[in-house]
Amino acid sequence: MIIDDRILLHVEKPARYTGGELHAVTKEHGKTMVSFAFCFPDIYEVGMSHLGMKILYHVINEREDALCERVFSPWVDMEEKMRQNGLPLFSLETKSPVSSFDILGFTLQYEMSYTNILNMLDLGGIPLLAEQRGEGHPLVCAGGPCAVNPEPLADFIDFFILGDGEEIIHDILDAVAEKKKKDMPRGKFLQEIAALEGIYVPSLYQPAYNGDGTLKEPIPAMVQRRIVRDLDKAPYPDRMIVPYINIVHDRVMLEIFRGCVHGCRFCQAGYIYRPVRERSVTTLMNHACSLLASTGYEEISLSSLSTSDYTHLEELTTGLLEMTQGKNIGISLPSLRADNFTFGLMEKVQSVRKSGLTFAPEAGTQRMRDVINKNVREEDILSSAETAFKGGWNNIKLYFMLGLPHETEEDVEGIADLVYKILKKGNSRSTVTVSTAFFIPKPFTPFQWEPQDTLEQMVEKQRILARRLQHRRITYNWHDFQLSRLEAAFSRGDRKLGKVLLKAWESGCRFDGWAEHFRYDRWLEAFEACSLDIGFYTDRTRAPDEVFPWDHMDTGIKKSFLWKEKLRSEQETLTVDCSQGCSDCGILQFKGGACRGCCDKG
Amino acid sequence: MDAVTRVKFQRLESTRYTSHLETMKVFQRALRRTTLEPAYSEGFNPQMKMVFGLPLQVGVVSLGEYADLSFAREYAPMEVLERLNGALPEGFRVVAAGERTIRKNIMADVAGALYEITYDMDALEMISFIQESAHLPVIKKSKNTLKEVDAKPFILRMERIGKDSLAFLLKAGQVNLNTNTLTEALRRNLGKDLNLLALKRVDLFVERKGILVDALSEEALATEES
Repeated sequence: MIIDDRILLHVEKPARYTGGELHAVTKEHGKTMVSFAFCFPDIYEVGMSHLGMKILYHVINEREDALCERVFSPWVDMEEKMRQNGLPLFSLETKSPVSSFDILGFTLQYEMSYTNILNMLDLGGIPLLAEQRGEGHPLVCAGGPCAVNPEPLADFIDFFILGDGEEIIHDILDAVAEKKKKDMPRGKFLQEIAALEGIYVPSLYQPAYNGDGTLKEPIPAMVQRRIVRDLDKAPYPDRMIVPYINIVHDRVMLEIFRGCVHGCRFCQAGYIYRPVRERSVTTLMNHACSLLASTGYEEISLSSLSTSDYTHLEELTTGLLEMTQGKNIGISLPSLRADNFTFGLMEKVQSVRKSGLTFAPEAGTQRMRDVINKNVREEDILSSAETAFKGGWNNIKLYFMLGLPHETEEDVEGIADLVYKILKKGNSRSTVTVSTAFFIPKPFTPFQWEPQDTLEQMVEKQRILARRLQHRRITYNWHDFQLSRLEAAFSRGDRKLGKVLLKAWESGCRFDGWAEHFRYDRWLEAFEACSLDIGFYTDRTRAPDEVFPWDHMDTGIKKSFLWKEKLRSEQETLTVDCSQGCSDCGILQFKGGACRGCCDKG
Repeated sequence: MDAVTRVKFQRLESTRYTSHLETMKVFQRALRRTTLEPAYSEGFNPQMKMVFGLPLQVGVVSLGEYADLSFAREYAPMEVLERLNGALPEGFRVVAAGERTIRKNIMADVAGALYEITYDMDALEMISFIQESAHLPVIKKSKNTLKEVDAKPFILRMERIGKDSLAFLLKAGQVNLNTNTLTEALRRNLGKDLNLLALKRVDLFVERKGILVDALSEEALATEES
């Protein structure tokens, strides 16, 4: 297929659609080749910044019998041109229509990208509903963090992948190769693949509901999450595609570990990526060396949920500094805890340029931080702020959550109080940027039983805080309430939401995560048209024994543990992190995984 | 002073959507993939020293783009050419290189640009139309201003190279006429719809003693315009 100038010269950033970047892999589509289209339901610049795609692209293309190509959501201008010209959704490498691939794999990073998935299927000429797809259509699968609750997408996806992709992708490719060889019918294939550990085929099960809309019983599938037990030996790309246009994270990314030792009770990632698995310094130095040489990037960034928790951080950063010395290569260390060690490190790493500094106290009062198990004390935050201001940082960014469970007006005021205390640590030129997001209860967290604040509560809390933060040296940003509410509905949604999603897409919803395209009114109309109430998903306190739509997804974390943690949050009791003691979350069932401190280090 | 190598390169079909700034990044990253030692600017945020010639709009193929690359030590121009070609992504190709010894860089020195343009109009008719027009007024859009200019004096030479195809040598540099403005000028003065069917930049030139010369010639690299 050729995408010609009549289209490309009339869209913003045509290089989003042209491919041909350094290290892009182009293979010939052949009869025995298993072709996998990695579909990212957002634009090129966002998708190209995603590490998971880089890893799977590498892992698949390393195989001789398989190929992986990239597909992104076209921006609205390109979609319009494509529809006008009858141009189907295509891959960047060979410009093949997505309908010609054996498998389309969507990554679910964010609930608000779901309409883009429907839109991409539609642009690809592929029936949206799994039940309407036949032998000639690609298999449509999806994985990533939102796959822990796949039910809202159950109508559209043939099978879901739960857990790390590096290993299971081989099982899937093998199975599809076998299917092609034997000319196996689609239905039989789906039944067979459902037996693979980590695979969920939603069409094999029909949920039954009580009169009040809750589930009667858990979906009888037992889907166990797949994990890479030894991350140090796991494959990692030695080259990454270097785009021509600027992307969001335009640098070498080095994943230092997966998982997190902290159990912040609002944080889904802190639970669903357990246990912590680290890469060794030697391995990381090798990856860094080959990636810098093969890409020519001027910056390298460490990637993890909490950089400060890497056991050999000092050794690694010293090694990287030596490696990059005199080469004008920057090292960036996101997700750092603000303590003295960190400041020493940042001084070393950014000896000249002071980039932004972000602290995430998450809550304003100690009581609230105890509720969410965010183990940071006010005196630490204040002394860090003082060190930062004295060290020459003129602006500090602060990140808080509003609407956390059991939040009182005092806690909201507490955010403002803390901000002013921080500001006092600086001088007359110091500024503070405050961002708040509304709490979204997520599956597989101790807050999965909790309601979200209503829109009225959100507006009120927001108003209190905005009034308190009126100061010429404070900038205050906040997230869209309505978007937070919709995200909350989908994150704990059930299969009934599939109809709402379809309706919303039909009425033109897409790129919901982009403020300029988000249309809450259309979403409400979609709920109404399906006789569903968004409040059922967002405003309810769930009963202790309520059956959840994600109960059949076994991430390794026990529901009983999460319930205990919920009770501890009500008692404002902290739970130690995994490096100090085992709280018996259940993850030990993954034998060979390494929980630190509580068992032999794997 | 750093050693400066001027390279002539092509921006081909697959990379023609790369903007001027993005192209600089492509070269910076390509240089990092070689063993060449680029020169960096002083200051808090050291940048590789490189200057590119006349920016070209995205979507257009070019057979003759130029960049002046500064190095911390001297290299034979052919070594720079070969190493860069070993590292550049497909779609960018260095075709010639020379050592620049004068101070003036390519961006400041460029004086002419050669294009091949195909309109949906007979080339000979187009030539006579332009020759017979004393002026070709057009509104030129720059960042925030609209200004009327005369396109005629910018057209230094024309030649028919195909039934509807012409080679245009345009005056270029600090005061410049890009091909969009040229097309607009022709359209306006012809008083009819004129469609651009194909466009390619062929080369850039510098001026020495009143004559346009090859940007990699001895005069261009070693003598300043007096």
